[in-house]
Amino acid sequence: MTAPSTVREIMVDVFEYPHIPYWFTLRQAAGIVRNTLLGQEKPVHPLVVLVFDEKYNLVGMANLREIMKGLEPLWAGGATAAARVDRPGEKPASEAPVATVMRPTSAFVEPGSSVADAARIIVEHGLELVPVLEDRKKLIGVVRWQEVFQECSRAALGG
Amino acid sequence: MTEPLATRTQIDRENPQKLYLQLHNILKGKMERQEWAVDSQIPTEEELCRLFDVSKATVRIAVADLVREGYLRRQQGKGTFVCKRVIPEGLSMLTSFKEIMLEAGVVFETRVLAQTVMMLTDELELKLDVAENKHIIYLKRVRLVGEEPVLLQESYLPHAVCPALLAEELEKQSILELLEERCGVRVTRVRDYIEVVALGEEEAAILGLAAGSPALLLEQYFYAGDAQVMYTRSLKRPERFRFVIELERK
Repeated sequence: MTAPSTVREIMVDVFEYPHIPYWFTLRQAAGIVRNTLLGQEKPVHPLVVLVFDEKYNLVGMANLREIMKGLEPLWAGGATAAARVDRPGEKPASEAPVATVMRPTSAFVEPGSSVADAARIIVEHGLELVPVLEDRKKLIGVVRWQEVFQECSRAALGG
Repeated sequence: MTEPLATRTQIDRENPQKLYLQLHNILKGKMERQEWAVDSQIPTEEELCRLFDVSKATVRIAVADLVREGYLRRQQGKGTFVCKRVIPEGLSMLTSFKEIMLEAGVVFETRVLAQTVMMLTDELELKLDVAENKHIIYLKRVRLVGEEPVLLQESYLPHAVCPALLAEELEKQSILELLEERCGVRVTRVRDYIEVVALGEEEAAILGLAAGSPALLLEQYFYAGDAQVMYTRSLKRPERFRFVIELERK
């Protein structure tokens, strides 16, 4: 079998991943993570939610660590309400929009880009997923690091 | 731009919509535009097959639907005739935006504020019958008369019902028309709930009113057969709308 040379051959459907508009709160995002990413018999990997704007453009992504970090004021002080850092008149951390914790989209590949291009982006930008855009605009899929790893590891392992 | 359903006069085989639905709409258009006069006899089954290049089965379903909806009546041994009075598709169908504006013939503009995808939230769980791990199309539109916003409408549909909606221009076409035309989804039942609510900050800002101002909330649950296909939440400036409910005993 020949190794895939373009991302088109290894990309997966974006609908494998939960979609969240940037204005959703961390509370909503956490609920969606529980119901979708973690709630399935066979969870999808990597554990990432895709964040979109009102015109269905991908604006970023957030993993579980980033959502947890956003919720830190709620869990860091243990279970006591007094330890929470909410200030009077301020909204609790759970009501902050997901846009405040997501990583904005910083790079993308095109369907005809090489797997090596995707690998370079994953390494340099620290991403688990790279969006695949058609005509630099339309999101048609994502490339996941596990498939890219499979390809790149051939260099070390052979086959 | 796509030709509106009501003025289409030929079957389009490139169109994903089922042939009987297309024929149904063409025939309905002929009656609504009075090309086929009240009490006149419509062409026979064979003639309709020839005219539109479709099978007898297609003609039969389309005509049977129009009889059921009250547009046509069959007379044993004589043929099929256009009914005197066209009965609307259903009470709920009367509450479409154009029909309940107080000023007749008013020109409005639609602006699309959002046309994107989301997942089910706790707030939506009771409104839209869809599995938690399924994607939802979210549409948010504001309608303006002159420069005054009069209606803020949010619609939620399971993505699988009509993925094509994401790419459509919603400024000019109704969602119900697009559902039928693009995805062959024909809404057969709508349940409406109407109440008066106090506007939240963001909604009030879009409608150009003070937060806490009263508005009419119309919630609509749309079904195609037994399956829910859409939930819509419309906030209306109360002074611009009147609801008309006409009951007719058949």
